[in-house]
Amino acid sequence: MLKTATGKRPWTFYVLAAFFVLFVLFLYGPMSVIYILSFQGPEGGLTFPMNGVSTQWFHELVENGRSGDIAGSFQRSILLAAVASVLTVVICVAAGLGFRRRFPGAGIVFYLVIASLVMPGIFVGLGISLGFQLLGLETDWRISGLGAQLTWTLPFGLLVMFAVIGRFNRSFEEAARDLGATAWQRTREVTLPILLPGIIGVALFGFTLSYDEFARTVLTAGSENTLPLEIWAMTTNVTSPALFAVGTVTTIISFVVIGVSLGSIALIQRRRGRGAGTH
Amino acid sequence: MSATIRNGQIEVVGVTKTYHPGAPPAVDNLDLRVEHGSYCCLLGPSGCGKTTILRMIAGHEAPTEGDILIGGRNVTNLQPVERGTAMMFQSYALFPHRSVLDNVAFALKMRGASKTERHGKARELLQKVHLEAFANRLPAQLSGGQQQRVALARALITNPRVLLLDEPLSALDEYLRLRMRGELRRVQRELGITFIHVTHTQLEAIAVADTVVVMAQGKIEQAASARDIFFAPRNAYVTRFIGGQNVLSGAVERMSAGSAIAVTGTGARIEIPLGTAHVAPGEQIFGSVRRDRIAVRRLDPGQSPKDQVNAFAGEVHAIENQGSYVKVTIDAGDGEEFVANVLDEDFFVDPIDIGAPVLASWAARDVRLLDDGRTRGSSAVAAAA
Repeated sequence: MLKTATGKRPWTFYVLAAFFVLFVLFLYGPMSVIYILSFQGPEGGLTFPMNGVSTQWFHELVENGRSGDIAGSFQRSILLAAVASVLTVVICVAAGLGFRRRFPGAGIVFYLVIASLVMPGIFVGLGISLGFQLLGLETDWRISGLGAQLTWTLPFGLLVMFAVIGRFNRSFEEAARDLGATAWQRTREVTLPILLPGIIGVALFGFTLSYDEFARTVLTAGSENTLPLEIWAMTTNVTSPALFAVGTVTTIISFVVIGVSLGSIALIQRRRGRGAGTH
Repeated sequence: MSATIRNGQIEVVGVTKTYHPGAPPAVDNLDLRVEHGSYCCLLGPSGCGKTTILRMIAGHEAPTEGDILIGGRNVTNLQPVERGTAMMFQSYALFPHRSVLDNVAFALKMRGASKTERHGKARELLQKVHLEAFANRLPAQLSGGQQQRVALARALITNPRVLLLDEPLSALDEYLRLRMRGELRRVQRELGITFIHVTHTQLEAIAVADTVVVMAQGKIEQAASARDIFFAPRNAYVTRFIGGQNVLSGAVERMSAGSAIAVTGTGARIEIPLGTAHVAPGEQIFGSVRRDRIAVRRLDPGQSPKDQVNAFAGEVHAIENQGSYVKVTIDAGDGEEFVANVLDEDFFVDPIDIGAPVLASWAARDVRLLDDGRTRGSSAVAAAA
């Protein structure tokens, strides 16, 4: 506790505490409003006051098509996020391991990868959709959508991999080599298992970045919507609290994904005892 | 490993290692021979190239120039696993995701041994290091000393003819370090294989090794038995680094019965036995004198020792009680640290305090001529005990 010698807190404590409370309200207030309003009663509207409490808007999401293609877009988004996550892991782990060797042009390759983080996402999407048009191809969430999202998840995944590999002690690999492991055996038996918690982190990044990606996807998804695009469409034509129910459900799914990932990392770390493996 | 290549003699021939073109080499045209079955310590300050040599013998680093021979066979271009060596890493590098048993059995698994075979052999080795009860633990659940023994068992499972140890005791606390170094020596004797042990701790090297190789800046300063390194250092660098002796230096004034009488920078006269060496009057020569053979006497005011040979007056700069002796550092006024190790029973009869004027004296027979400023010894090749 921050206290002066006399036991009284200085006035700056109260100023900063008030500022922090405001910050938290600003951060979580709007989201909390959505979660609360999603349990609006059957007769209630889009704003407070609450007119009773019900789960009717959640039922409406699944049952009829009045609120748009929520179920379909949700399926597409989960599938897309899963594929993006797997590709991100495979490519970023390989790239991260490869970058440990200072190959010629490594610097340029790295900056090229990072450049797509800096470019405004909407232009990346625009460029890809124009490219498809030029080539006479249809944009589709499975192809152009996935590609557009990878321009976002890959650089992120690579940066995470750099952090993960930076803490990896190379003497593990040398020890394995000394004990007769081939390059493939070293990777499979030693490097990947030791890096696993970090790799799960990369997968999590890939999944969540893809799951709520909007800017790059909006022009590249083609005729079928992903969930963020569907929700965006709903804000203009759905006038019931079902909109809020979508927000609550997607938030819960995000938390489940994050929880499972962090839980499995914690489990691996605990099985290895006091956080060994990174020093 | 077949029985025909059990010879663990190591020869390093003209090896140079340069990491960056233009930068000074980490190892500079170095020759070293270590006999089969001997315990050799590479000793030197950090950055002297000792770990680089070890890693080149292991095959984790390739020499820029020169050859490495093990048992008479050139292994310079062989993989680590083909050399019959095993390495113990500084932080042990135990695989954190594998049990103690699987860590020890790792090399056999890589060779495709069946589970029963490799676990059987691994248990045997764990028994040797008294860790069979910990077979199913993970490395992080063991103490530092236990981890070190697991690393030892893991390295020995391939029956290497050479064990390479990179600062094997540096991760342990003082108490364990002293115990484990005795243990390493015992294991080496028992197996009869070559041990090469890298350390920066003088007493550790002298305690365990048959041969100590003192290095500086990629070169060998002296390779000799532990006893010789301690009592007969070749030059001022080794003398100062090992620390058992003081360095004396002076300009030759005259000869006297096989010794040179030299005058130091502060005007004291010292006598250095020459043996077969020849020096000319006026030449700057160096000698070493054992710290435990220095007598320290309180100097009364007005007393001048100028006429006495093998003695000088100075002021006590520091006093450290080492238990069985007291380390008295004397400032002679020439910048060279001069230490006398005085037996506790002598010191405490009439304890001297810091700042007191004293006379340090010694006998000429405890002084040895050093190589510095003279033509260098012909070879730095280690003749192991």
